[in-house]
Amino acid sequence: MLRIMLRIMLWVSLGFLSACGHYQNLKDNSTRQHSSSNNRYSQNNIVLINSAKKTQKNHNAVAQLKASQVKASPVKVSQVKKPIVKRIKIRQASDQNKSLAKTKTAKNKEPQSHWEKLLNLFTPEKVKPWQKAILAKASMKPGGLNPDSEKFNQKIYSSKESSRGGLGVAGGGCGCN
Amino acid sequence: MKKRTSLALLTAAASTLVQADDKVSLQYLTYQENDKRIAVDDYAISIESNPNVNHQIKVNIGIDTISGASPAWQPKVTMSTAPQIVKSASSSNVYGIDNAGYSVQNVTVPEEQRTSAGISWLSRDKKRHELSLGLDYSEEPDYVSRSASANYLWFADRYKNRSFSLGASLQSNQSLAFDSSYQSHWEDLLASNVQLGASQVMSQRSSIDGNIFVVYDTGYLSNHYQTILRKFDGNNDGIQESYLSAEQRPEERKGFGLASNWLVQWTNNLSTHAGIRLYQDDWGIDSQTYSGKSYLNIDDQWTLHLLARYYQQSAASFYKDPNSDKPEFSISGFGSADHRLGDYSATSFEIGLAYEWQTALIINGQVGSYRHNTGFIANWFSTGMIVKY
Repeated sequence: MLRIMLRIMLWVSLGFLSACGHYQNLKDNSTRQHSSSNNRYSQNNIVLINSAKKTQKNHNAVAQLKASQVKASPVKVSQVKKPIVKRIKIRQASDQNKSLAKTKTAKNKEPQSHWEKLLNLFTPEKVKPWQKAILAKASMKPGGLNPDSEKFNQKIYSSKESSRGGLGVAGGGCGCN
Repeated sequence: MKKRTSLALLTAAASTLVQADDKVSLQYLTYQENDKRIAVDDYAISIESNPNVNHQIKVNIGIDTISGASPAWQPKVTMSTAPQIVKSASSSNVYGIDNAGYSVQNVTVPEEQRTSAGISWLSRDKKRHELSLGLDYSEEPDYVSRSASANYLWFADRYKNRSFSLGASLQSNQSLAFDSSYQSHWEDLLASNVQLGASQVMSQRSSIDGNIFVVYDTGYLSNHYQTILRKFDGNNDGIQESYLSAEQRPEERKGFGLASNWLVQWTNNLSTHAGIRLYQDDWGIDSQTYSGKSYLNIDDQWTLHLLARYYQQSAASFYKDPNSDKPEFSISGFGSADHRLGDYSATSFEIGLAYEWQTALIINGQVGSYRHNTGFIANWFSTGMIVKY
């Protein structure tokens, strides 16, 4: 019975150590975009790492395992924490796939010439209404941040130049001498 | 998936039906030309109200004061009345003759105050197409202007990325004019403008708009302060004398052109506007305007704006440079010595700062300079505030 318990605790300890490795891999591989969705896992993993580190520091492995056996058995660690480790494995795999896919795409994509980049600027994209926050900014309006100040400028130009039109139809006249 | 769809729909609804802020804008401009020419102080107030998402009302009121002088041909010593034969032969008013000759001098213009007011109403229908109607009125001692405008904008696609617009305006103006004995009277002129425009969203960060326009002016299009020299043998002695006359421009002007603007936000802090306008009319004026404007967000509150503009035009067919070797016109026909109808290029620069306080108050200030390659220079400073409520 004691042997079986000892084996279980060895598996648990190995699980802790592997979780530590997974977390560090996850930390290295995951992008910022995924950070918010991974918070739940990350927080769990930090607890796991701390426990694993403590385990590593203890040179007397048998004594440590015995002590952890006594602490761990009442809370049934294997039932609670094993699924988390599995989740992390799945997550890690999907992230790796994503990063691999990105790398492949980047490798397959040929570098764009300046002409192509310029053409892209003038190729209309289908922009959905909820993606127009930037376009709705005052600095992205023809009149700019301050349309009234812009009117002053137009008044100066129209009083000193002989062409008109192209700036909209609204507005009054001026006998600017 | 369902949650995501409903969230997207809600965001879409919020972004399309968002109601603009009501705001009041107060602006002041002081403008000064070199060589002690025209000086202007301009005050403008505008109020924008959005009672709901379908309507917008804008009211603007302006008061400006103009003083200084404007260059024109003047007699060097004293002027005597021109013979009747000269007056009869001339197609414009002949003021007289100075045997000592003439020179271009800065003629003091009486200090004038111009008041203007305008109102515009914008209405959106169920498909968010926009109809704008506007009325404007301005009055100064020698000029009165009344104008009406209408513009209709319609979207051509589901996501409202492409729109077209058709607008027209008509100005009915009256200008003071002098007769040969400097007695003043009012002359009428009409100025009309039709514009067909298109706008296309290129990406989440850029858009392009463009328009073609036609302008048509008719009536008294001359400037009553401007003078020219006309040559004629009034004494029948075989020698042509120079007579000081009023300038005379054609009573009709047809022009057309196209204009386009490209607006891009390159980074979260930097956006630019690039513009071009090409214009041509039957007076012989061809012009090109290139402009670039940038807005740089220094931080959440401070924005730096820079403007550069280049303008170039060819001379009107009836223009003669007063500094040329032969500045005189024949006794009849169109003629003008107004440098604004000449061949020149102009550059303009402006730098400004705006401070935004809690998105409710914007305080702005800018300085600008405008130069012709003929030596004319004008500088200005303007400041103001926009209060959102």
